[in-house]
Amino acid sequence: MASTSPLAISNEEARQRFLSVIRLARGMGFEGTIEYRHVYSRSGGATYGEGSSVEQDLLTVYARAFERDADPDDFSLRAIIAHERGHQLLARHPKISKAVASVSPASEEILASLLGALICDNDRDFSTLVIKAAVELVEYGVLAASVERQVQNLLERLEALL
Amino acid sequence: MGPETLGEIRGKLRKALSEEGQDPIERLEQLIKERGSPPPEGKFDVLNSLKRFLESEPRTTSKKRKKRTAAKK
Repeated sequence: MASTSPLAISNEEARQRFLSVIRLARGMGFEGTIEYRHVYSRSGGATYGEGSSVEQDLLTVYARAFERDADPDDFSLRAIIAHERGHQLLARHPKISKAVASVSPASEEILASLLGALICDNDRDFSTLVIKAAVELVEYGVLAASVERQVQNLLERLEALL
Repeated sequence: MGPETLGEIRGKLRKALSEEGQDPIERLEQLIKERGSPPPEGKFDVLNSLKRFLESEPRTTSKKRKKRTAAKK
């Protein structure tokens, strides 16, 4: 059975993690409060919480995000944070939030990954986030033959709104 | 961000493409062939990226290899 809590780290290591999260998230334009919690959660390593105003928004990054970052066959910390910033853009960006006002939670996941890809200045993170979105589209019934066109259309439309 | 790792996403992609009754990598090669020319510069080559993603499965550990070899005996 997997451990229910992460391995203990020093206060200095926790501080360094927090600073890494702050630097990455602010670099991608995240607004609101940012925190690092050295616990396991049910999320994949980070969550975005929409507040009553953008200043009240909350990005929480958990220990799992750093474990995933250390795994070469998983998403980097940067990609995880970019995906959460994608959720904030869906909620807060004046043009994007209007364009996606009535999308389903499943579609929101796909769009958050694509927006995350667009704001990542790293080829590997761009690829992994687009692949995540493409596989989810296939899972939701988009034919493999048309997934490329669908992904490119969505990337173009989101890029035009950004 | 969901909890699925890239490895799990790779497994889902394999499964989804296998449902069309073909080897997943061969299926992607076929789609790339049918598409013809690659996407114009500046556009992301989704199909080739998916193919490279499937092909980039991490190497099995020696422990797993030993187990597999033993099972074949």
